Amino acid sequence: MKVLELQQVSKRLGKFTLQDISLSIGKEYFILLGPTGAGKSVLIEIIAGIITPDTGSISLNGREITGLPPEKRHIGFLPQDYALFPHLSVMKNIEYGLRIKGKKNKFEVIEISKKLGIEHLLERHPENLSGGEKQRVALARALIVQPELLLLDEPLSAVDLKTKEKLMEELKRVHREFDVPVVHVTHSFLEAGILADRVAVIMEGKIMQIGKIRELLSDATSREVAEFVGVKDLFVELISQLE
Amino acid sequence: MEKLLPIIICLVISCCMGDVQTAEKVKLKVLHAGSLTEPMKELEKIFEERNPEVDVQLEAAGSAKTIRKVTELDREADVVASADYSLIPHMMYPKYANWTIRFASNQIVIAYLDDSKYSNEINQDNWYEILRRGDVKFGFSNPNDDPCGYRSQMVIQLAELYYNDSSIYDDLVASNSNLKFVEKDGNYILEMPESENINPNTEKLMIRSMEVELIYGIEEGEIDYYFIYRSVAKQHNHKFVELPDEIDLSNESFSDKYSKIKVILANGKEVSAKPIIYGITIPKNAPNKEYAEKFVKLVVSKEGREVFEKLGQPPVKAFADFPENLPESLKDI
Amino acid sequence: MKLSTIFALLSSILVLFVILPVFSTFTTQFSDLNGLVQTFQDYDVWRTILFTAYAAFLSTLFAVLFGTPLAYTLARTEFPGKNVVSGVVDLPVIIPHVVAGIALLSVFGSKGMIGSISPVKFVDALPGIVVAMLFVSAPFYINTAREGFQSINPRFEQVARTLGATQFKVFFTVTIPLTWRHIAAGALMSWARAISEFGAIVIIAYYPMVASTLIYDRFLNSGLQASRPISILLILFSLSVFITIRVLLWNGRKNESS
Repeated sequence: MKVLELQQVSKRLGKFTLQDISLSIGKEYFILLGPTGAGKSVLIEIIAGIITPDTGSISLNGREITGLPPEKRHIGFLPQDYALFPHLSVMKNIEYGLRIKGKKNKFEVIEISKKLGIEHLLERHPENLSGGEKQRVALARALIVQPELLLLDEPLSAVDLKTKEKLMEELKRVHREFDVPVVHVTHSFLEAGILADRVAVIMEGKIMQIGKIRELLSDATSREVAEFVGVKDLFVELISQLE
Repeated sequence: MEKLLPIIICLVISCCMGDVQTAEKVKLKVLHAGSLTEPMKELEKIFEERNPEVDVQLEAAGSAKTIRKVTELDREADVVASADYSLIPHMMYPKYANWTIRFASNQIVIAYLDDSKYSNEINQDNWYEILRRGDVKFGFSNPNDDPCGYRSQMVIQLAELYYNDSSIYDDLVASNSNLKFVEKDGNYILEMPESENINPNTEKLMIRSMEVELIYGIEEGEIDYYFIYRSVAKQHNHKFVELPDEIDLSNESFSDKYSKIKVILANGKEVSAKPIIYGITIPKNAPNKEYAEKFVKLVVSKEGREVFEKLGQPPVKAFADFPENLPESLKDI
Repeated sequence: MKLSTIFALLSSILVLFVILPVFSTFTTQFSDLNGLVQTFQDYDVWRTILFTAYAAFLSTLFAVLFGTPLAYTLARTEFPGKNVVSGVVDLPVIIPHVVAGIALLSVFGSKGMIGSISPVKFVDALPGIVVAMLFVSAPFYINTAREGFQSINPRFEQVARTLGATQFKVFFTVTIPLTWRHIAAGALMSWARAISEFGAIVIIAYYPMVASTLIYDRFLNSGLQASRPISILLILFSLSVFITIRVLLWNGRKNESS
């Protein structure tokens, strides 16, 4: 079943151009992989509705959303720095999506906090949280409104390797337990290898290849992809072990 | 920044040393009443032509304020000219000055523009009827601040006596503000409230601190008529109704009649109506006495008189109150 | 000499330059405490000061009402002519205030573009005072609020929208709460500027009398001695309002971070 479908989406931003992006994503953990400046973040913001594309169309679960503002898309978005509201407590951060709809529900907040193990943080303020705690709060805030899709922009770039492992497990768990499709943007081959059901490699505003991580390794369709993934040969063994 | 520092320091220093261009010129400070602005400008030109080494610096303000600059703010001034000669002895004697020369006169008129309401009807005999009309707005300056303001009150009260209509002041002013004349033994006294308590009905009356501030009032169409010195009206090409000599404070021979009217200002000062005569003096602390004397001499000279005549301020025969105190060069006037 | 020493020296010169005249106003008054006490008990002086504060409050209200959207637009969006609009916002700062007063009179006066059709009378009336205050004080509010809006990361607003909030709701639940301190500080500056305005007001409305006009007037007809206590009263009043609100803001910040 198709969840998200992009057809020939293009966007010019100054010198950078995102070219003819066509993607079809199902109920999976999908990773957009590419080097810095490849256009991954632009693409994810187009999906979220923050940036409007110049041409092309986007649909979500069969619903045309190209012209819809972010608030009508039902797509959760976790930016790189999580953007927890600094003026609100953790409790109120999580509750935000319900409160603005007038559906304030403390019970739901507590329930979702339990699932994510952040119940003890509810009275705190975002500035006093660790990186991992922030991510869980941001996840809770996004998931409480039951989005049809969750977008993660480089969620693991700011944490150390040890935390990273833990958080990756958690993302995987969230994906399963909340039954939500995920589009995860990263430049890390390791993350792609561990988390992704499928991967799209994006370079210089173009999608180079889409497929399972093994396919990319064994059967790169272009020299650029081969070079980009090739450097990571060392991880191949690690990945097979994990799988 | 390091390179800029010396430049900045130089700039600051040069700024402290004053205007480079006029640094060598003698600066002659003339503080004068606002209504003398135009003639003073002409006299400045004549004076500087004759004394190129002098830079005459004019500073206009209300007469009382002008004097106060010397007596309270300790400003150095070479010449002080007031629209009411009596302010000089009153406020400056004996510490700051000890003589006054009367040199010009003026009179209160009712000035207007062509598009003022009923401007084609108004004349010396019906002006108070016109001002009484509900759709006519008029203005005068604040009696507390400005001699032109209290003189306007005197003129309107004098009109009651002259036209034998005891409700002129009431209709025009008293019913539209907190100002009121009280009769006492044949004298009429207006006790001014503090300025914040004048409470003018701004639908009918426009009051401004200074007489010249009323000019934009009439030019912007806020008011139809205003009480003003003849000279100011003339200098601004406003039309005006000349009032009878008996009430317009221009004629010395009506001094007795005028003197029945008295205004007590909010600061306690009492002024009796009298002919409008300008006074000039040189403060005791004047830094450039020699040039100041030359300037005063120009003011009272034939040439000076012509300037005042031309600009609507009829000159009077120069008259000193304490001739024995005059500087030598001015004794012969 | 170390840079910090030079800076300390230069800074203290400016601080002294500001403090000295105010300080001397106060110390001179010590020789006439009687006059000060009398002024403190003068009902009319208080009425004038409170009236001025009220007019300044109205002006600030308008500045916030109309200036907030403008500040936000300038901070968040790019549009052709943005530089021109920014310049227009700063214009009142560079125009001599007497000129501003005359310009306002030509628009709000009885024959002016707005004054001639408006049912509200501006000349010599409260609305005239408010427009004069607004004209000179609006830039202080707009620029401070704009800085506030610029200082917050647009990510917060973007995320709020993905959570289902409309632009309108985001503005009131995220943008304003994150910038209210700038907004309050800007409003306070604008209020203070409005209260101290003289040049523009005296032209459009000599009456009803505001505090600065009253001070000038007392100086004219009774001299420094009579006007100084009112100045002191005005300074003390404005300063106490200023400090009270600042303290409230500061406490708010402390509580929030704890």
